[in-house]
Amino acid sequence: MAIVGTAAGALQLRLANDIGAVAAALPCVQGFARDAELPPRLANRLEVVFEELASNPIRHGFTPGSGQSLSVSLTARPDGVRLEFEDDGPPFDPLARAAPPALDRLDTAPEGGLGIALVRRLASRFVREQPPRLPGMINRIVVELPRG
Amino acid sequence: MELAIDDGGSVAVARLSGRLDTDGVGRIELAFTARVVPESRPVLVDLTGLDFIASLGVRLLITTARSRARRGAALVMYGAGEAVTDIITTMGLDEIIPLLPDENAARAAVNG
Repeated sequence: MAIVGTAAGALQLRLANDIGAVAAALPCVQGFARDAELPPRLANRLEVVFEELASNPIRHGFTPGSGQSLSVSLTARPDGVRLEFEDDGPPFDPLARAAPPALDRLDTAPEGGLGIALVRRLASRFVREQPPRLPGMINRIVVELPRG
Repeated sequence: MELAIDDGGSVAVARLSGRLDTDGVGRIELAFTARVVPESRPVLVDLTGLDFIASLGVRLLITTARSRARRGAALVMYGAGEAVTDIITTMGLDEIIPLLPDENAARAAVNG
């Protein structure tokens, strides 16, 4: 994991193709939340979305042992936080499948897709944008979390 | 991430502490399912010491509770803090696995 850039209310990270990179980046994400003085609920939701969308390409998209990587940019805004994820894994649209129904029965509750479902519920905006802004990247996902 | 299973008399108490994220689930998943699924007594999952939960943690609770429910064995959760409660209620996990405020309420729920 490498810190690519920091500025007031902004952080950019580059994560290698290693699931341990997500946990290694956590202190940086928590530091960003502290510096931006995010309220506790928003700071926790930021960690959750980071965990879900940073681990997803490493667990499901990247070729094991490859040099593929993931870029994460966090920006604090007056109305919340913006997260931008770009990776060079296979093309993937997390919103291609319809949102799963609400959990209402234990015997039929899904075991897959829970992370994307959770991000859908937390985000005020959750989109796949094309093209990515960084050279060599394939996927670009943008999430906005509201402050309120 | 740590897991402790306590003998609670008529119930078993599975105490989760730390972060139930990708790394945390990897650390305790085998032990949690191996101890909780076959437990013959009702199981109370103590979330008091849990600081964080993400979707893999939610999935672990769903699969474990479902395996127990297939043979009529109860599993309830209790003691979640604000951050964990926010994610549990946002996911609707509390709609399919009871979430109680404390151990006494959890014991009352499983003892009818």
